[in-house]
Amino acid sequence: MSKTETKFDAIVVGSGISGGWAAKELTERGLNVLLLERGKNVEHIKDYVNARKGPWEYPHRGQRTYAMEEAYPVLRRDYPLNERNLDWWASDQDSPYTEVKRFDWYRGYQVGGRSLTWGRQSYRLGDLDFEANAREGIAVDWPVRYDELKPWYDHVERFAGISGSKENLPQLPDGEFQPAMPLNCGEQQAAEQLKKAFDGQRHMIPGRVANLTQPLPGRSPCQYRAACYLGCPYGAYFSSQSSTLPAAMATGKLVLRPFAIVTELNYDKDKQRVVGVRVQDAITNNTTEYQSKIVFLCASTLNSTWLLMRSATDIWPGGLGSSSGELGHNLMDHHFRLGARGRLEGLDDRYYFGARPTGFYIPRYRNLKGDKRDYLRGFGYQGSASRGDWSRAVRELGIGAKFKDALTQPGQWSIGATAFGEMLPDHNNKISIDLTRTDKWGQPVLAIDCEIGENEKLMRKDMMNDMAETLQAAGAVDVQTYDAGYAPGQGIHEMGTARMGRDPSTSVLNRWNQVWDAPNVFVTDGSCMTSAANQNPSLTYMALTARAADYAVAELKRQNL
Amino acid sequence: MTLLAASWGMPFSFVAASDLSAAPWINVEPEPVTAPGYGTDPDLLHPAPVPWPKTLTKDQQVLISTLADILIPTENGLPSASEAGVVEVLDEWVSAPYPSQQAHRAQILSGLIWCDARAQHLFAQPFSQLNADAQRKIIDEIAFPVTDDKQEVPAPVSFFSLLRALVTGMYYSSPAGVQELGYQGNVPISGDYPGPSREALQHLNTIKAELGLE
Repeated sequence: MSKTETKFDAIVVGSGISGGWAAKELTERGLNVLLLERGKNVEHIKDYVNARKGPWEYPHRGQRTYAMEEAYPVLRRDYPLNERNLDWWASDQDSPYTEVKRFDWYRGYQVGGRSLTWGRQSYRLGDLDFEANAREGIAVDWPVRYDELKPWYDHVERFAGISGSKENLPQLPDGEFQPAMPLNCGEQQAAEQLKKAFDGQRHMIPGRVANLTQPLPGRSPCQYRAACYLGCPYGAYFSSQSSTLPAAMATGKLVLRPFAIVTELNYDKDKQRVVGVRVQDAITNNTTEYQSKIVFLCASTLNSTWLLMRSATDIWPGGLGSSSGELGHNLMDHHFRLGARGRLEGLDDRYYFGARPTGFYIPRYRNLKGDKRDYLRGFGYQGSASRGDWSRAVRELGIGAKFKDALTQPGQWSIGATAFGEMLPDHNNKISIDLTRTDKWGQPVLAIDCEIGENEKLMRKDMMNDMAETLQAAGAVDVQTYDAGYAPGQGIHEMGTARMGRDPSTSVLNRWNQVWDAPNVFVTDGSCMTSAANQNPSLTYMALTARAADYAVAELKRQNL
Repeated sequence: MTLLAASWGMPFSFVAASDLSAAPWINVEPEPVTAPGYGTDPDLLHPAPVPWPKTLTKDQQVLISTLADILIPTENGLPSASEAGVVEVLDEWVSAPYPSQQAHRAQILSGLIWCDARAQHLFAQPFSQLNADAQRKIIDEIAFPVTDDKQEVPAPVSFFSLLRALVTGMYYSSPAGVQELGYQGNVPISGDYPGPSREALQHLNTIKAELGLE
């Protein structure tokens, strides 16, 4: 494929988790694919320039500086602002947005997107989740069920490499796992104790995580450095760079074009299809048009929705997919940042191995098996047990040689967890185009208007207090709850603004992720989510993307697109 | 904590806070340091010369050196805190124009005065001129936590805690301290893991033999 070619079988917009999968699945099925990424290229291994640095090898020890806080008014609100991987977070100044209400939008504008920096927790949704909207009369029904998605979860888990344990829990389907990263002895002790409480309904299991415990082609098992967010020189965690892009490149059918901002989908109203995309070069601002038979929108939830809203506005003022009245609505995230922590006793002669890049998981147990709360849905917990380091209460340690000895001993065992709760879809939580402001490239920005509702607020009481009683039942002492406060977006799990459904009058996408109004456009990132469930969502985007790609190619062959 | 002290063979039991007050604790309010600082966000990989002068007197330096070497003495051929350069770093620290360091400066200077006052009270000599046993008697009063959690921590104990935290941090970030830790850093192994070295295996086998394993 020539770099100057402008006609392709398929165009994929966005190279993150979903876009990487789309590129892989489409090229492997024989399509010539153009993968467009708005940001810079990041080459696997070569561009992980900080992966092996110690804190002292950074001008500011890896921390945030005053200058960074000034330059990143949004990113500074939470952990992402740091010196070590700042290059992989979008500039708040170049890409502003309007907060009708506070919404923390942490973006990754580079090849690989947020697959480079994601938390890697990987959980399947089950029918408990897919049926919930219909059962409770919330929003609209998911147009898929677990049986249909299961083979695609199998497919993406095997290729991405998810380590985890089979638990046979109906609320959290098992998968095609590599061996789990086991619970450490503190967590094992807690998990055993917990089995005896709450009728055995609260399960403390190893976190399911996209870090390898066995090699895959071109990728080594995890080295237990817990430095994933710097890029992994071993390819031990799933990212577009380590996993899907090499596979797509190997077909010889992929053209990857960084610095390519897609500003519009070109809609042909006679064909009722999108016939290509308009691209603005992020460096030169030159415009190029590319043509393709199908388009996969994988630009991340809010940006894919922005692109739909900016397309075909001569037919639909609200943009392509707006005929339902739902485009841009039903924005969801996972609400969290509260839970509890405590101390573990009786294990002071025990330690654990390495810096494990995951911890334990407690799957949802609320509103299950006869449990009935004053809110709908539920939450899961992610946490870990560990021992304190030398910086603990130095006052306790005396003087002299004994003091130096004591410093080399690990501190007390502590255990804690944070709850991740489901957020219901709400038509009032919405994004829109703010025509009064433009970004660095002259494009109008998004306005975001989102807040959590009564259901989430009620749930948060349980999310915090349940963890305290769970830890106590698990044998922890000195248990304390915490609530660090939550603003929508902080979960970095934006979802729902172009939802799937069964009816074009109430949803943007059909059951195959096709835009009802332009069936050769597939939207497979988080915007397609009809509900949020409480599980980390990326694995589901992977499965939906692979499934949609398979369907798209079949439909192309049937000449239906 | 009593148990811990006993297991360490401490010759003295804990003293109540009231005993400490036999020597006066005077809250020093030193002249504010007005020297320029680094400004925000200095590049620590290419540090500029420290822009503020050091301010400790010779006597203060000697006393800090004595205290720091009680905390981290010469041991097994390893340098003591003062030999590792901690006094100079601490001088730079308490002479810095930033609010947190100026607060440390007040607490450290107050603590130095207390140490000499306590030494005068018990032994009628400044701290630095006491023999090691006498110095140790005073340090044992402030180097260990008070027995009662509810009791307010006496000012001399807080002072020594701060000194310990600073001296420890400075010692273990000095070249000598890093060498003592034996920290290898983040050393990658390319290719398959070659297994432990012969020395390490021998060491393990010796221990296993001692334990009667294999």
